[in-house]
Amino acid sequence: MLKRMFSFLAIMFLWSAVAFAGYPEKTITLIVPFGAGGATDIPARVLANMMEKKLGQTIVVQNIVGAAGTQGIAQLFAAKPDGYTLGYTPTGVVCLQPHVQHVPFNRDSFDFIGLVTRQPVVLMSSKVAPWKNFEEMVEIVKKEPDKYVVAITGTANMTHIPVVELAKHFGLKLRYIPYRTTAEVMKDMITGRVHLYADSPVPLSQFDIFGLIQFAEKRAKNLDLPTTKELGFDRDISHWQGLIAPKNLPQEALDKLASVVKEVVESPEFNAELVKMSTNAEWMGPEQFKTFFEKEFDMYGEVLSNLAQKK
Amino acid sequence: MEIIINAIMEAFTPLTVGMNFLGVLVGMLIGALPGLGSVVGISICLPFTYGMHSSAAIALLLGVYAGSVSGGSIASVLLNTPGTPQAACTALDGHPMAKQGKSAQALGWCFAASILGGLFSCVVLILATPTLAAFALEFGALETFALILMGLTCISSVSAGAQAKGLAAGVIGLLLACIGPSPFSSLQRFTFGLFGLSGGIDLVPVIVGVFALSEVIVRAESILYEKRVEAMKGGAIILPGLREWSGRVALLIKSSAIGTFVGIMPGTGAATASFLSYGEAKRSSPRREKFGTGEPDSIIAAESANNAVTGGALVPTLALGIPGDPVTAILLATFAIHGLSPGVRLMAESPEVVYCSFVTLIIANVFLYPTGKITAKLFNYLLRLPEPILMGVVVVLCILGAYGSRGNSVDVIVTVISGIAAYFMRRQGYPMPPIVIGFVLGQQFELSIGQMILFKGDQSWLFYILSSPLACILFLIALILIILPHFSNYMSKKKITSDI
Repeated sequence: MLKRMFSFLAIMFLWSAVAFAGYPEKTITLIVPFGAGGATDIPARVLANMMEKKLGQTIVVQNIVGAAGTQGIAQLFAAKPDGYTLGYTPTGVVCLQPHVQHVPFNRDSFDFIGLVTRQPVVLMSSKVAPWKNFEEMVEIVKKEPDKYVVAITGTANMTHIPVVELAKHFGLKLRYIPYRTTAEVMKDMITGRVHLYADSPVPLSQFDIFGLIQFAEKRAKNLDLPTTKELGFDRDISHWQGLIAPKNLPQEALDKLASVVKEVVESPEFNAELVKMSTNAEWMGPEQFKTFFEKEFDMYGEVLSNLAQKK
Repeated sequence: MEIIINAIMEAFTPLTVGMNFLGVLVGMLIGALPGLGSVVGISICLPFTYGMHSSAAIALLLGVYAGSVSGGSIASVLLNTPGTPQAACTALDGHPMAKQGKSAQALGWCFAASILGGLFSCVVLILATPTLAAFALEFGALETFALILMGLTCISSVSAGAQAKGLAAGVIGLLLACIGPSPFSSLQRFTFGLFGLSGGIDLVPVIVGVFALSEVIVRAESILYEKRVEAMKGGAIILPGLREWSGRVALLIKSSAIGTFVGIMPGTGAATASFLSYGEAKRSSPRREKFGTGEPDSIIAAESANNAVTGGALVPTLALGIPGDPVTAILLATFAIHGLSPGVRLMAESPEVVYCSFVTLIIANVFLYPTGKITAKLFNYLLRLPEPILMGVVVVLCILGAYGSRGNSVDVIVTVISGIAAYFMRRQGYPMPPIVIGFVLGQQFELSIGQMILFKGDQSWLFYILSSPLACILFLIALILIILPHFSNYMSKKKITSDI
C-alpha cells in the first residue's frame, strides 16, 4: 500500500516536473492596470508582442482600470501564482498607493520578474511663467509665496510627491491644484494658468512647455536638464515600469520569464519602439528589481508619513 | 495646396479606404449591440494597427469611432435598449416611432442626422481647427464651471411635466458621480468600504442599467402578464425626403453645432452632447409637445449632435495634442506608435497626417449609410428570435459590455442594481435622462468647483468672476435658461386669464 502510494506520488511529482519543463503551455494573461493606448499600456503591449514570439504562446493584454491602477493590481494579487497571470505595473500603483489608500496588497505580495523601463521625473514649466530656469524660479517663487500654481493629477501620487519634496528642500510655497489627466493639465499649462508640473518627460516632446530639472543622480540619456543632485538636493525619483507576478511563482516559470524579458528589453527593436514613446528601456533582473522595489517602497512610505504628519 | 492633394490621395488609397470601411462596419456592429460601445470597439482594433501604415491605422480607428457612435441608434430604435451611452436619447422618440410600424423611417432619420451632423463637424474641423483650438484654451476652471451649469439647466427642460421628479433624478445622477475618491483629498466617499468601488463608478454600467436593463425588466413584465409584445420588424432604412426636412434644418444645424462644441471641450463626450442637444430641442422645438411620441426632431437633435462630436473632438486632439474624449486619447497613442509626435507641433510637422485624418473622417461619415444598411439587416435576424430569448441575449450583452469597459466585476453589480432601481423609478414616472445628465456632468462639475475655489485664492468672488468675460456670458445664459421657461409659463397663464 505504502509502496503504491509512494510510486503514485513519485509519478505525480515527475509529471508536474515534466509539465513545468514545458512552461508556458497555454495562453498567458498580462494585466495592465490602466486603459488601452495609455502610457502604461503601450510599452506593455510592445513587450507582450515581443515576448509572444520568444515564448511561443499567446499573451492576452487585459486592461483593468480604476482607482489609480489598484483595481488591476488587486486582481493580479488575487490570481493563482502559476505563471499564467502576470502584471505590468508603474511605480505609483505598487509603491505609493499602498501607503495612501486601503488596498489588499502590500510590500510582500509579489514576485518580481524584471524592470522594463525607467526614466527620471522631470519638473516642467509653462512658457508663460516669468522664469527661464530653475534658479530664477526658486528666486521668484520665494518672493511671492502661495502665488504660483502646481498641477497634480491626484493627491500623494507621482506628480505630487516630487514637487512637495522639492518645495520642502528649497523652502518654496506653492499652490497645488488637482486635475484628472495630464492632457487637461497641458491645456492650462499652455495658457499659463498652471506654472509647474512634475511627470515623466513624455509631454516635453509633445507640448509647448519646457523642462527645469530632472530628479536624478546623473543625467539620463536624451535628457539634457540639470539634475537634483547637481543642485545639492539628493533625491532620485523615477518613473519605472516592471513585470510582476503574484507571490510564490514556480522557479521554472520565473527563470524562463526573466530570461525572455531580459532578451526583449535589451534588444534594439524594443528600444527603438520605446524611443518613439519618449521612454527609456532599462533592465533589472528578479533579485535586483526586488531590492530596488523594497527601497522605493520604504522611501515613499517615509515621505508620505512625513507629509501626513505635517497636515 | 500640394499637401492637401497628397493627403486626399493618401486617404483614397485602396488599403486606407478598405480599412476605413472595415472600421466603420466593425464599429457599427459593436455599437449596435447593447452595452458594447466605442471604447470596446477601439480596444479590439488597436492591436491590429501596430503593423499597419499610419494612414491605414488612423482610417481604421476613425472608422470604428464614427461607426460605433452612430451604430448605437439601431438598438435604440428597434429594441429601446440603447447600444451605446450616446444613443440613449435616440430611443426616447426613435422607439415610439418604430412601434408605430415606422422603424425604417426612424432609422432613416437616425442615419441622415448622423451623417449630416458628422459632415457638419468635418467642415468646421477643416475650416477652423486652429481658431477653435485657441478658443478651447480659453476654458479654465471658472469657464468650465459656468458651461456645466448651463448644461445642467437641461435637466429642467427634459423633465417637462414632472419638474420635481426630474430634479430629484438629476440630483441622484450628481450623487452617483460623487462615489469614489474625492479629487481633492483622495478620501473615499459612499463606497461602504468596498474596494471595488474605490475607483468610482463608470458611465457605461449606469447607462446600460438605467436604459437597457430596466427596459428588459419592463418587457419581461409585459410578457408575463400576457400583453402581447409587438414583434418589431427591422432591416430596412428609408431616408427622409427633402420635403420632410422643411422646418427642421435649423434644428439640425443647431444640434450639430452643439455636438461639435461639446466635442471641442476636453473631458466630455458624445453622451453629454446628445443629452444637451436633446434638452435644448425639447425646450425650443416648435414640435416639443410631440416629443416622446415618435417625433423626428428629437432623433435629429440626439443623432446629429452625437456624431458631430467626432469631428469636434479631433480639433483639440490634432491641434493641441489634448484629447476630447477617451477614444481620441487612444487615437493620439496610435500617432505616437507610428512615430508621429502628437501635440502642438503635429500640424506644423506632419500636416499631411492631419489633413488625411480630416478626409478620412469625411469618408467614414459617408460609409455610415451602407454599413448601417448591412448592420440593420443583420440586426433583423436577432429580432426574429422569440422575445424571451432576445431579451436574454440583450441581458448577456449588457453585462458583457458593463464588464468589458473596465474589466471590473463591481461594474456588473452596478449595472444590475441601477437597472432594478431604474425600473421602479420608471414605474413611478421619474424621467430617466436627468440621471444621466447629472452623472455625466457630475465629476467634471465637482472638479471645476474645487479648482475654481483654489484658483480664486484670496481674491473676492466678484473680482474673480468679472475677470473672465466669457464666464460672465455663460453665467448669464445659464440664468436666462433657468428663468425663461417659468417666465413664459407665467405669461401664458396671464394671457389665458385675461382672455377669460
